[in-house]
Amino acid sequence: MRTLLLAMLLLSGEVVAAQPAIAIIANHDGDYATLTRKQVVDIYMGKLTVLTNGTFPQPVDYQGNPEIRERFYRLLTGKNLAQINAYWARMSFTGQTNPPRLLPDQKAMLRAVGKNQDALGYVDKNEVTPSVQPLMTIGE
Amino acid sequence: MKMLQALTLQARLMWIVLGSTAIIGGGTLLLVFVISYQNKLSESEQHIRQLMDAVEYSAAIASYSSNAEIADDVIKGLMRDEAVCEVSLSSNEGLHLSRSKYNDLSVCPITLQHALLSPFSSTDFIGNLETRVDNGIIETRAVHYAGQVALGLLALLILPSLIIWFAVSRYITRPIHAYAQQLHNIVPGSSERIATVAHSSLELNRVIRDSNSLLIGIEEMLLDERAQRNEIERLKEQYKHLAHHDNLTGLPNRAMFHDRLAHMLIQAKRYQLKGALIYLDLDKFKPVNDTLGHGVGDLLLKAVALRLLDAVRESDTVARLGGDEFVVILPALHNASTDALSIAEKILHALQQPFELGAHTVQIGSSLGIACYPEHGKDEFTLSKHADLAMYRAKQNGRNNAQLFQPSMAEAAD
Repeated sequence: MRTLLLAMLLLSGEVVAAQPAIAIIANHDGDYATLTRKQVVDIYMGKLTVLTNGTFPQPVDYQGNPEIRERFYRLLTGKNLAQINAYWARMSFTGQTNPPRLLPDQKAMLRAVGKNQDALGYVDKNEVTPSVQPLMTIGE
Repeated sequence: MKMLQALTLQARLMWIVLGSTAIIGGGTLLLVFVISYQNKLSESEQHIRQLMDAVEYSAAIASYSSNAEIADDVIKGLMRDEAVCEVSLSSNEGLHLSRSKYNDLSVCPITLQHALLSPFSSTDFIGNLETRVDNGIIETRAVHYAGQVALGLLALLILPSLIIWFAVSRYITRPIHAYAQQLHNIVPGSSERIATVAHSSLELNRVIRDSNSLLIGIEEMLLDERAQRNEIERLKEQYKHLAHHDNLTGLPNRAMFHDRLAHMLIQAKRYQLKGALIYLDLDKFKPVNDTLGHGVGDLLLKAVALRLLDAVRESDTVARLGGDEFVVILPALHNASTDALSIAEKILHALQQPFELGAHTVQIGSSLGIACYPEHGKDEFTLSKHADLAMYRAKQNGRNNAQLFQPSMAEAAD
């Protein structure tokens, strides 16, 4: 019995290891010190377009539905990518809000955030480089 | 119930079927109507709630993003249901959008609320979707629906009643009525019988057969009774005849003679007619009787009776008082004494002729006494007495003659 429990623990540990945590990242000059997790959701969903400190956050996302994107939205909103895309389809149709800009991969993401002061992005936690500022970690 | 007893079977049946259908059907219909109505009411409300559930996600997105266009889409979608008279969508962040059909919303007392949660966080309450429902339309719908259900049920109730009524009427009441009508029209004792009835049952056929047996019995009984009554009448007539007639000659007897005489006198008095009475005795009858026997005597008396009847008018009465004593009543004479004398002469002549009685030829004669009404007597007794006195005189005068009464005869007798 003890062995079984141990095995399950080990297995679950492996599952966690297979899906690493995600780091929300910003430019070193970005003014996001007080940013909350809920604000991250609102920014990515196009709801929050300006912060009280005057910052216009510029969320950046990935194109082509890579695995990290799926994981990101599930961890953040509990929805899958299809639902998020449906949301955006509806929102874009009204022409009032635009979805985040899309980048091909995490390298491009790190580069874009490192260059743009108001940019917000996300990469696997172990991919974070000193070129960006990690704000919070989700999925731990 | 007393009222029903006076009705025909058909009418009573109709009232019972109609009544029970009305009572049972009415109650059931009312119950079904109310239940259907309530069900439809809550169903309509349920329907609108389901519509609200369906648009919940869109409404939540509109509320989350404060997107008026999506919100309006949601509202327009809900407004399509004609029972919805107002929809409003509001978010905590200041979005408020509503559409309504009427200015006056007092007809829309039902308010359905739906709390909106953030599409991205199921714990965050972000707004409210509210619908006001037109009670009138919901009720109209409910009444319409309940009415249709009730109508269907009514048909279900009425149809079997009609079928039962039709069947009972066709196979029970009408045949019984037809039977009763026939029985009613039949005169008891006649040879009429009850014919078979359309759509009759085994039971009724038996009743008809038994009724016909009874009718046959009654007819036979009445025929028997009629025959017996005729026999009694005949016997009565016979006895009456015997009581008033002489057995041997068939002529009226003494009793009837008195009747006829009395009758003649009454008629004569009333109409002031004249009449006469003749007393007649056969001469030499006793010797015939004694020498030739009673048989021949009887034959002679019969023959005398025939000759007497032959000699008088049809309206005259010839009676036999007994033995060889006869009387003749002559009513309605023109000249009493002359007419009576001429008839008396005729009788004398007729009785003088020889009688052929079997092997014997007998010759007799007769003595006649005549008394006329009104000159020789106005009552039965006097007239009879005077006729008798006149006859006595005829006998004294040597028989075979007729004598008219003379007052001197009465004095002589006194």
